[in-house]
Amino acid sequence: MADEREVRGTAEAKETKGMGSGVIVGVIVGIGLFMLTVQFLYMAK
Amino acid sequence: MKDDFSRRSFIKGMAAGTLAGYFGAAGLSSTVFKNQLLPEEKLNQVDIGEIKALKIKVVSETSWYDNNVFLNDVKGAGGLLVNQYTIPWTNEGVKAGYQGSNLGGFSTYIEATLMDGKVMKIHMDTGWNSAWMEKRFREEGIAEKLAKKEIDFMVQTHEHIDHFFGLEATLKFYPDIPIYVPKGFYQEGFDFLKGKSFPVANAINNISHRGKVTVLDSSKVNILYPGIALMTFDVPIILRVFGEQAFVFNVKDKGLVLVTGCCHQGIISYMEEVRKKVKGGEKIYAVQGGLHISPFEDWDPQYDDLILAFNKYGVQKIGCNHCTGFITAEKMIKAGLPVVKGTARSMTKRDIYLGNGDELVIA
Repeated sequence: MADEREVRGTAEAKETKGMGSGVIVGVIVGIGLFMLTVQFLYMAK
Repeated sequence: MKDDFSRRSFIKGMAAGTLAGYFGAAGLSSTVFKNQLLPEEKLNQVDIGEIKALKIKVVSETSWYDNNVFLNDVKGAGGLLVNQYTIPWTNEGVKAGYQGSNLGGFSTYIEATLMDGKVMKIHMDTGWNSAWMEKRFREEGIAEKLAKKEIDFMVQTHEHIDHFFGLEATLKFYPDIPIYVPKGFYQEGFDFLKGKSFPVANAINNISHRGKVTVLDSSKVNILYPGIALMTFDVPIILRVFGEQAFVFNVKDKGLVLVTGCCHQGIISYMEEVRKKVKGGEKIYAVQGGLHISPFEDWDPQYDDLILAFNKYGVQKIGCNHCTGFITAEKMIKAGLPVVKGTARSMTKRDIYLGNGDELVIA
C-alpha cells in the first residue's frame, strides 16, 4: 500500500503536468483562432 | 501513459491558454508588430505647384450681431434643418446690429502672387446683408476692384445665408464675375444667382449674374492655377445646405496655407484630406478663416481634442475668426497655439483673432 504523501504528490504532479500541457495547447489554439478571426474579417470586408 | 496527467487540469489549462493566446495575439499584432502587419498607408498626393506670396484680407467676418436673435429665428422656423430660404431672418430692431439689422456677412479678399509675378485677385464669399457688404466692399477697396473687373474670380465656399445672400452687393459692381460653386448647390442657389429673390428670407437679388458658373466636384483636388487649388467636400450642413469648398495655397519656402469659409467639413478632416491628397500636406504652414468650432460660444470637452490636433500638423499661423468662436481662440492661445491677433474694428468685437479689415500676409 502506497504512502499517503506519495499518492498526494503523484496527484499534484499529474495536475501540474495537465495544466502545463493544457496551457501550451490552449495558447496554440488561441493564436490559431485569432488568425482565423482575422482571416474571416478580411474575407468579409 | 493515459494516467500521466489529470484530464480536468488539462482542460482548465487549455481554456486559460486559449484565452491568453487569443488576446495575446490580438494585443501583439496591434501594438508591437503593427508596422509589420498593417499595410503601409499609400498617399495619393498631387503636386499643386507653388506661388510666391499670399495676402489674405478679412473683409467681413461678422456674420450676424446678436447670437440670441439668430438662434430665435432658427427656433421659430422649426430648427436647424429648416430650409434657409424659408426662414424670416430678423433684419430690423436689433440694437447690436448694423442699422438695426441682425444680418452681417462673411467675405474674404485674397491676392496670390504667382511665380511669374502675376497677382491673382480672388473674391471669396459675398456676405449676407447687401447694405453692410457694400459698405465693407467700399471701405476695403473691393468695390473699386470689382467695378474695374480687376478681380479674377469669385469662389463661393458654400451656400449659407451669411456667405451668399449678399450676392447683390457683388453683382452690382461686377455682374459677369466668374464664380466657382461647390457640388451640392441647390436650385434655389442657382435661381438666386439668376436674379430671383426670396422675400420671406429677406434674400433680395435684383441683378442677374451673367458670367460663367463652374461647379467643382469632390473627386479630386481642383487646381485653378499653379499653387492655387480648391478642395470640395460632400458634407451635409445645417439649414439645408450641402457641400463646402476651401482653398489650398502652396507658398514657396513656407508651405501649405489653408483658407476656409466656415469649414463645415471639420478642420481635422480638412487637414487630413490635405495630408493625404496634396504634396507637402504633412506640414501645414497656416490656416485662415472660420474653423466652425464654437460659433455660438459654447464648449464641449470633446472640442479640446480639436485644439490638440493642431500640433500634429505643425501649423505655424492660425488666422482664425468668424465661426471659430472667441472661446476657441482663448483656448488655443492658452494651449500655446500661434493664433494671429487682430485689431477689433469695423464691428469685430475683440482683437483675440483676425477681424474685419485685418490682413494675414505670407511671403
